[in-house]
Amino acid sequence: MINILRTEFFRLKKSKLFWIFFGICCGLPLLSALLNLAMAGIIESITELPEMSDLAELLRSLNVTTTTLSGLSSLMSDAALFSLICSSVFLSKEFTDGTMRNVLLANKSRKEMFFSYLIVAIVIGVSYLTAFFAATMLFVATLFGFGDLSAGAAVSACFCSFALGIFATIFVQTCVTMFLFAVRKQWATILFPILICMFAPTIFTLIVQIISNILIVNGEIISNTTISWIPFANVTIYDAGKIDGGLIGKIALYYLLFSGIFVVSGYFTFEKADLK
Amino acid sequence: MADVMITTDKLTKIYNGKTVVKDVSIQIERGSIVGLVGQNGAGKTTLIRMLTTLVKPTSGSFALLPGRQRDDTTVAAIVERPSIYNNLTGKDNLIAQSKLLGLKADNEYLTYTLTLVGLDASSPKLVKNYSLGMKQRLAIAMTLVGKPELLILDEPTNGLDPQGIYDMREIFVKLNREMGTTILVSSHILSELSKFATDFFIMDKGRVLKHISADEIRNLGGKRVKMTVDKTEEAKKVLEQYGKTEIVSSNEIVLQTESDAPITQIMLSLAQAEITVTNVNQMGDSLEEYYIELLKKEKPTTPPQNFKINGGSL
Repeated sequence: MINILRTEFFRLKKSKLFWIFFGICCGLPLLSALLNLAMAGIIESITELPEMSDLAELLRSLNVTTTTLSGLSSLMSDAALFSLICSSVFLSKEFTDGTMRNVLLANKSRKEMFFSYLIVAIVIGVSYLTAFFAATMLFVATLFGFGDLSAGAAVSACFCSFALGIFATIFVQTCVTMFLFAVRKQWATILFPILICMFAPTIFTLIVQIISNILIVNGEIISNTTISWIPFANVTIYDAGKIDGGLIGKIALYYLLFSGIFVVSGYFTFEKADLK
Repeated sequence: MADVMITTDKLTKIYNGKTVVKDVSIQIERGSIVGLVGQNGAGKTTLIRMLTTLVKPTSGSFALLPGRQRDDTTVAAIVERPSIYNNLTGKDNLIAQSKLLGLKADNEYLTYTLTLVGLDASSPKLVKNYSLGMKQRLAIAMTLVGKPELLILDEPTNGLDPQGIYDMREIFVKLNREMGTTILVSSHILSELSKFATDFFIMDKGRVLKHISADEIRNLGGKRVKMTVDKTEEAKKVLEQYGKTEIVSSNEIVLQTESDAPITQIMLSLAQAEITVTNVNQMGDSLEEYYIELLKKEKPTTPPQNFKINGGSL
């Protein structure tokens, strides 16, 4: 397994796509922070105009820094999207170029192959997420500082969203890996995980509601709030007030549960498959 | 007992109810160069895919280096198309392969390997810009990275020009002689295979019809000469002193001989018997001849009853 990982990380180091998306993950928070800075300037100038006093009052009621952090942390899903595209394109090359044959010929088992690629996919996802988060904190701290935040709630929520982002990344990347090994086609490895991540939470909620006649949701077995925290339903600090350890644990468990289902279905499909 | 590198026992593969490989039981000994011969659809590639674990056998079993510990570098293969990273350079492909095999990427050896197959080790060109022939050369270089004991090649000269085919043959022979690499190679180009293989497995319809050595084929075949003559019966009598004869048409006769007599002497004998020879043809490669003959025996010579073409019966 170590040898497969060494090979994949060598390839990753040479991958232009990986580095372009990595740059975007670092650059987007800066862009977003600059836009918010510009907005802060506009609010300042508006407050000096008496005829705009109502609007100025409204804008002043918004905490610029909190808004910025909220927006930025919600963009964590962008990091997940970039990592999804990158890992699916990068890893599906193994099948389109036929190089996975070299792995099997090097006396590696299908199990080693599956889990090595899964690790690589997760590493891609976590590195994008970390880059995004680090850039967000850096640029927001540099441009606004954290001093004016009430009780540091926004910052702690940001860390919380990062922690959950890691679980979300694992979810997304196991989904990619499942399609990679089950279908072994590049288009399917990109398209199906995107569709699942974007629509599955809504569909899942709908199914749960239909089946349980809202009893499950109302019975707090699964809450709508929790459902909305499934990947791409956003991890934002808008709901910072609702965050507690139990909820975070529950969300993390959902992610891990779905990830486990993806791993099992992907692995056993691949284990039996005839490869070309 | 000879050192066996590959052994299969009733290896069978069925795809969607169709038997593609049926009860194949073969043994390949260390140091041999074995040609896998057969038409398209004979089951060669599927057999190779099973041996390389790409495809799971429906039944039967196989072992590479049976009874021995196999390490990462022991077996290398090319199956159908080159397995190379298109977004890397040739050299980077070899470095990636070294890492996969757990070897230190020895720059000197990798450069030597690329040069051996006729590629420029310092070229910054990405593999996606290579021609098919260059990709095939690189794929062969990839197989050499681990200095394998067993090399499995499926149509390795696909896409190569005549010089490339010659070069690859030289490399395979060199590997076999200098490093003792056992080679299993499938190819449609029988004349090419017959130049370096020591053994052949002839496949048809998923079965191995025959295992025969190159020496046996040479001894079976001898020299075969087809002649166009005006008097076949008389020619047959004259030629019998040189070997077996067979009248193949009203004016053609085939002589199969192990005699050292030069063709001019045979012609002279015919001329002395006042037989006019209008054409003399040294018949082709003995592997090819043998293969065609073997397949003829396997195929029905008469069409099945009630076989019709365009509504008419044959």
